[in-house]
Amino acid sequence: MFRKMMKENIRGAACILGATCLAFGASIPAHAQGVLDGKTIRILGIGDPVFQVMQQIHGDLEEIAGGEIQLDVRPFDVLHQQVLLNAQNDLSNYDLIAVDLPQFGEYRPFLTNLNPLIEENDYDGSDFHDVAWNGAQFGGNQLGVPLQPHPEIFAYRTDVFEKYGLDAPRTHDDVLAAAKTIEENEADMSGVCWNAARGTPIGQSFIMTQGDFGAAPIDMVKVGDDFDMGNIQPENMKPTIDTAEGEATLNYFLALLEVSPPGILNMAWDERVRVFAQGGCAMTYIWSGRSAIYELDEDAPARGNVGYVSHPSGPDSPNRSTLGGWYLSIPTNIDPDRVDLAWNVIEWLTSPEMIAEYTKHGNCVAPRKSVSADPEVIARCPVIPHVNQMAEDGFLQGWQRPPVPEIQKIVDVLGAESHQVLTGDKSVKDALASAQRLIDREMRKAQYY
Amino acid sequence: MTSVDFDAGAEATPRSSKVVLGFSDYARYLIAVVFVGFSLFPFYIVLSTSLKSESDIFAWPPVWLFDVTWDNYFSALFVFGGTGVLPFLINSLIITALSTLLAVGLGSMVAYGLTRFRVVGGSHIFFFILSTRFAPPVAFVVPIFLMIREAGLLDTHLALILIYTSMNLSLVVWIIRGFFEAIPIEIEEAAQIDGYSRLQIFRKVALPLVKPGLITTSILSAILSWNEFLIATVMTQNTAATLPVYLAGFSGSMGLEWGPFMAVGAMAVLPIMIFTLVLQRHLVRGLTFGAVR
Amino acid sequence: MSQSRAARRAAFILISPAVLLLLALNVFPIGFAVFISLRHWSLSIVNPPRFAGLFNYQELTLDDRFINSLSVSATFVLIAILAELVLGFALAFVFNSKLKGLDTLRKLSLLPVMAMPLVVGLVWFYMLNENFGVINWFVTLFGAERLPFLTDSTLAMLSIALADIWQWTPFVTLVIFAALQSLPEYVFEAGRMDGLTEREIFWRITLPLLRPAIVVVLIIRAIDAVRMIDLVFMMTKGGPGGATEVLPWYLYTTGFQSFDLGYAGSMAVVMIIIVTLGAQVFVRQIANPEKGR
Repeated sequence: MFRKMMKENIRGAACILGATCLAFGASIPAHAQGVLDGKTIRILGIGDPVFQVMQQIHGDLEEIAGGEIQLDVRPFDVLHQQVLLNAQNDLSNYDLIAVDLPQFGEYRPFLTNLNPLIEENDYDGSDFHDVAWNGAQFGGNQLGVPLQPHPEIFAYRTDVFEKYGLDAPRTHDDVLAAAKTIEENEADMSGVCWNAARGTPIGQSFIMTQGDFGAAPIDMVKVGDDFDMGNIQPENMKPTIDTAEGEATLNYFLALLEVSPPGILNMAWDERVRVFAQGGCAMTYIWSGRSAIYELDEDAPARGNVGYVSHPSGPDSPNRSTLGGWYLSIPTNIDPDRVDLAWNVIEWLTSPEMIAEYTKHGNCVAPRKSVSADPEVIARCPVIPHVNQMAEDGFLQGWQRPPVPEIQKIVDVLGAESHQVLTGDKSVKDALASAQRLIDREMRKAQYY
Repeated sequence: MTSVDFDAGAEATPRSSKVVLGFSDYARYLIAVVFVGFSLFPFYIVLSTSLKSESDIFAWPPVWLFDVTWDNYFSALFVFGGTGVLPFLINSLIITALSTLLAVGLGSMVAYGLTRFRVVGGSHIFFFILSTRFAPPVAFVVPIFLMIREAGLLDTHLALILIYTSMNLSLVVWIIRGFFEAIPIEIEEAAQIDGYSRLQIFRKVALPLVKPGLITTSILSAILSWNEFLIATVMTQNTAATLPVYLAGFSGSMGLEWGPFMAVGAMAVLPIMIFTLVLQRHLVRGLTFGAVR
Repeated sequence: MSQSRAARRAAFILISPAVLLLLALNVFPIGFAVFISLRHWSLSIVNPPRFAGLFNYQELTLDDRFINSLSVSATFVLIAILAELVLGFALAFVFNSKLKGLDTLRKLSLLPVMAMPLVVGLVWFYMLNENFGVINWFVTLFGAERLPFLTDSTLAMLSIALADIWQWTPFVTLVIFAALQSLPEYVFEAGRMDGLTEREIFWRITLPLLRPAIVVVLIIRAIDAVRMIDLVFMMTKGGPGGATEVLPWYLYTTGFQSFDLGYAGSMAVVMIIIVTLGAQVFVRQIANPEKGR
C-alpha cells in the first residue's frame, strides 16, 4: 500500500521537477503578458497546493510574465518565522508574502493597506466570495487578496461507506462508529487520518475540534451558534481551554487514536491526504484544496469515490468548518519603488484565469464566483460545489481560530500539551490546566488584563 | 611503534609483546570492517538516493541496483523556486572562505602576541579566549540577533562572517599557540638583528614557520563554518542565506522531494568528505590537539 | 626579547582585534541576555519591551516543558557520550595494531566526524522512517515488526542518540588511538619485568596514562552534545510528546518560533550558568597544562 502511495508522491514530484510538465500556456490571460517587464518578483510562499502549482509551472509563469519569479516555498512554521524575521529588516526581502487567514491579527502592523492600490487600479473584489474577500479586512483596510482560501472539511470514501451500509458522518460518534466498523473488516485500511503531529498540526486540530463542540479558544461573545469576531475586547482574550469542551476535545483525540493509521503521531496536512488517497484510511480531515492530490491522480483508489461534509460535530452542536487558507499581502517595509510591481503581480496571480489554471495542476480552490461556477473547473475539482454549498449554509466560520495577535502562541501551547496526552505522558486534566495557564500568561504579558 | 596490549577481560595469560593480544587478527579485521561499513553506509544512502529515479527512492524492499539519473541534481541546482540551491552554495562559499581567513588571521595574531610578548594579564586573555569555546551558540543567538538587527546587518554576509569568526577564534588560538611555542626564539632574534620590526617578524618569519598549523586550523574553521545551521537560519533568510538554511527550508514539506533534497545533502557533504580524506593528516592533528601533544 | 614601546604597540595591534571581537560577540551578549531576560520582549507583537523583573525566571521554575527539557538534555548527553566513549575506546584498541590495511580502514571510518550535522539528521531521518526506511528493512529481515523509531518516546531518544553516536564515535576512537600511539613502550616493558599480567598492565598502566586523553575527549563531546540542535530539528522537532525536546530546541523555538525573546533570554542565562559551571572542570583539567607538566 505504502509503496504505491509513495510512487504517487513521486509522480507529482516529477512534474515539479520540470521533467514532463509543459502542457500549459494557451489559456493565459493576454493582459498579463509582460507584467514583470524584465524585473524580478520575490515571493515568500507556503508548501500548500497553490504555491506548489506555481513551482510546477514556474517556467511558463516566468515566460508569460516576462521576468524572473523568485518563489521561496517554506513549511508552515518556517514561513511564520521567516515572515516575522523579514519584518525586522529595514528593507523587506520579499515583495509578496503568503498570509494565512488567522495570521492577519498578528501580521497587521507590518502589512500594507491595499485600499489605495485597489482604488487607483479600479480593482473589483466583488467576484471573490464575500467570506474570502472580507476575511482580510481589518478596520476597513484590505490587507490581502485571496489566493487560496479554503475550509478544513471532512472527506470519506463513499465506496467503502456504501459497502458497509454507513451514512455520511455528521457527528463525532458517527465518525468513531464508522471507523470501528471499517477497521474490523478491512485489513489494510485504518479509520481516520488527521493532523496529530506535534506542534502546529495538532495545535490547530485542537482549536478546530473544540469548535466542533461550539466553543472558541478565547472568551468571545456568542451570537447564535457563532461568535462575534468583529469586536474582540481585551476581556474577551481570556483563554477557554480548561473547559468541558476542551476536555471533550482531548477525549475525542484519544478515541481517534484507536482508529488511526500507523505513524499518526507524525502526520500532518500533506501526508494525511496522501495516505487517504492511497486507501490507508477511510476518512480524513482535509483542507479542501488538497483534494486535488487524489482527484488528479488516475491511480489513486480514492479518486471519484469521495464524499464531503463539513466538520462532524460534537453532541448538540452545529456542523461548523474552519475557514482558512492563503492570501497575498505586501509587507510595509517593501522598497516603495516596488509596490506597483507587487500589486500588478497580485492582480495577475489572483486573476480568474490564473485561479482556473491552478485547478488544472493540483489546487482545488476557487475563491472567485466566476471560477467556481465554471463546469470544467467543477469536473476537475468535485469538492468545489460542496464548499460553495457549505458557505451558503453558513457552515464556514473563522472564529475557531480568531485572528488575534496571539493565535500562533495559543496553537503552539496546545500543540505541545495535546501531543503529550497522545503519547501518554500527561493526563487530559493536567494538559488542559497547563495549557490554560500558559495561554493566560501570554495574554497577561500582552497586557490585555 | 609497538602495539599496546589489551586483554578484553578474558583470562589473563602472560604473552610476549610481539603477539597481538585481546583481539585475534580476524576479529580486528571483522570489527574494523563492520565499523567502517557502519560509518560509510549513510553516505552511501545520501549518494544513492540522490542518484535514484523517483520510483526507486520509495521502493520496498529497497533497491540496491538502479539506473543512475542526474535529474535530482539538475532540479536541486536550477529548478526549485526558480532559483535552486546555487545562490545558497555561493553564499556558503563566500562566508566560509572569509570567516576562515579572518579567524585564522586574527587567531594567529593573538596567539603570536600572547606567546612572544609579555602582556599584562596575558594568561587571563588566553583563558578568556579558550573559554569562549564553551559558549553554546543557542544561548547567544537571542542577544546577538537583536544586536545584529540594531546594527542593520540582518541578512548580510558580514553578520555571519563576524559571528563565525568569533566562534572559531578559540580553536585557532588554542592550536596555533602550540606551533608558535615550538619555534626556536633564536630565529626571531636573528631576524630582529637583521632589522625586521616586530610585526614584520610575525608576518615574514613566524607565520611561514607555522604553516602546518595554519592549514590545520583553516580546515577545521572552514568545516565548522560550512556546517553551521542555527545562527545562519536566524540571521539570514535570502541575500546571505547559506546551504543549511536552504536545507532547513525544505524540512517539513518533505515527502515529495527526497531526491533533490538528498542531492543538496550530497553537495553539502561531499566536498567535506573529499577534504577529510585528502587532508587527513592535518585534520587529525587538529582534532587530537589538546588530548595528545 | 626586550619590551620596548614599539613592542607594546605591536602586541596591542596583534591582540586587540580578536579580543575586541570576542568582547562584542561573547561578553557583551551575556550581559545583554540578562537585560533581555528581565523584560517582556516579543518581536511578534507591537508591544514594546517592558521591565518584568524576575517574572521570566519565576516562570521557568513553573514550566514543566523547561524542566523536562533539562532532563531530556541530560539524558541525551549521558546516553550519547557514554556509548561513544565505550565504543570509541574499544575500537581504538582494535585499530591499535600494525595489521595491513587497518590504517586505511581507520582513516575511512573518520568520515562522519566532519559531515554537516543537518545532513546527518536528514539521512538518519530518512533511514529510520517507519514505512520505507532501510533500517526497518533490516529489522524485518530478522523477522521483526517495523519499529516506530521516531514516534515512540523511548525509541525517538535512542534514534537521535544513534545518529550522534554514528557521527562522533570515530572522533573518540581517533583521540584515544592517537593517545595510545604516543604511549612510550618502555613503561609496558617495565611492567612486564615486574611480573604484571596483561590485565594488570591495562588497569594499572595503560588506563592511567590514557586518563588525560579520556578527560579531554569527554569534555569536548560534552560541550558539543549539550548544544546539539540540528539532529532534533531534522528528525523529531522535539517530539513525540516532549521526548526529545532538548534545552537548545526549546530555547530556539521559544525565541524564534514564538518570538518570546524575554523568556528565551532567561533560558539562555540559565544555560550559560550551567555551561560555565561545567567549564570550570575544563579550566582545571586541560586549559592549564603547564601546572601538570
